[in-house]
Amino acid sequence: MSASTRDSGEMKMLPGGASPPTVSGGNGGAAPAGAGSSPGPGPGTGTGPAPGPAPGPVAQSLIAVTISPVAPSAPATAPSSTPAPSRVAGAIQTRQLSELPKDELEHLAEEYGLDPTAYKTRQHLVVGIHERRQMIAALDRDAMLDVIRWGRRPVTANANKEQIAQEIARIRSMKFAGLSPRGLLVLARMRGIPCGDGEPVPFLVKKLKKQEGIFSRLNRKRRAMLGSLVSRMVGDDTAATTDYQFLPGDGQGGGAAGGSASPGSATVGSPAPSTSIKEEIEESGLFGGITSRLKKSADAYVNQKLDEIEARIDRKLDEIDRRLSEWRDKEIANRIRIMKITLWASVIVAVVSLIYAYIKVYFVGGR
Amino acid sequence: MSFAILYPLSSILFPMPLAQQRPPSLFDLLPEDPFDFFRWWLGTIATIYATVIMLQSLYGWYVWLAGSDKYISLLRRYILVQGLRLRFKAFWGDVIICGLLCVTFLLLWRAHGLIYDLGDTLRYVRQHPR
Repeated sequence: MSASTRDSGEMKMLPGGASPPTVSGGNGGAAPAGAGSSPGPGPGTGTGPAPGPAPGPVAQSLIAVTISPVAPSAPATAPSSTPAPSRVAGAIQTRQLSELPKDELEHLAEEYGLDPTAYKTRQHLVVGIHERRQMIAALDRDAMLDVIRWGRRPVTANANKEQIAQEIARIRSMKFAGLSPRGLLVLARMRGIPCGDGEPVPFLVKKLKKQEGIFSRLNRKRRAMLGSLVSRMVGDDTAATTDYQFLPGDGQGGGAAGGSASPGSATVGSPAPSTSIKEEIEESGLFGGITSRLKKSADAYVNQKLDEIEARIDRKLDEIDRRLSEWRDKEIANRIRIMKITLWASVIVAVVSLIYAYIKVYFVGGR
Repeated sequence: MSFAILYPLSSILFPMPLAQQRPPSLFDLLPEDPFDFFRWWLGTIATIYATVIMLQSLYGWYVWLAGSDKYISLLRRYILVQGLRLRFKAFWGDVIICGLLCVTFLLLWRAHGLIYDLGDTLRYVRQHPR
């Protein structure tokens, strides 16, 4: 693994040499050799490069970076559903992460939950992104899905780790009720808190709250007050009651894990209004929360209308099928009736002919 | 075996011996029996016409349904499904009547042959009295 990586020239990607250049397998490929302080199952344990939402252009370029020739006999290479990259893949023109423009790098860092302003130079940012990707590859996918369910983020059930991690990075909630311990561990690591596997939950919660900072906490409290005010004005204080549903991915319906998607529905797995408007405003601010609520309401309305249209189309199809069956039966009955009339005419003519022949043979005496 | 049932063709298939032949007259060109003439030629023409029309129609359907277009393929499967969903009970009365009429027709055909055989026997007996 590392040898082949060196062959591919990825050593040049890491100015500063903070960590060995062993990054690969962003889509569930090879395990990082030096995955920092994050022990756990290898990335290939449950993360095949399953199809999911198409990553953005930056993520695409990042994925392009990960295509590096790997020797088939590399011990750290996990089995994957994708064709194993061979040395031929070395010919693929890959775009090095360090060659990305600075704004793309910063955007990429934000997608992974990093603060780009915390890195002094571009090289530091590249190293930080690499380390974050190594850390993500070492995370437990099921634990990440726990966080997704808890945060009710729209993700397909077969999304890869990087997509899941990007969604986790968007979760700002500080109410950890309902999150499993392993999910809490993943969340803490995604928020940049160094912690081991056996950390107790209260300790993690305390660290997360400490990491939030006093101003952020004050802002959150202010947004919470505003949210409760708006919630009282609007009169909407419904809590989440519906189960979480994954988005429908390729080749599967929605609700693959814990979802209860109704079969035959055109709108499976859309993230229904899950949290109260108070919580949304607390998380995203006044305008963000209201916008999010409006968007969800509009989505629900559109979904309902789509279901109605689908039901109407189904009814029409049934009606067409019924009419076609009636037409078929009528047509066949008609044809059989015509055949019957023809046969009757033939038999009548045959009887007349028989009588004629009998008279001619017996009484006329000729033929 | 009597070939009376093939009356219009019998003069072609089984011509009279040369010794019995005489120069044809105008009356020889007329049909000996107008009813036989009518029914045989009507039957022949109608059968050929119906056969040609049916084969033409079947070939047209075959060519159309053998297309590789995805909609034609869909239609092909749909027709197959419609055929499988067809219930015999809806038409069994008419179908049985048609079958019985066919049997009746064949029996009548056979009766024609018997009567013609009987006619030949009678004529022979009348021509050769003991």
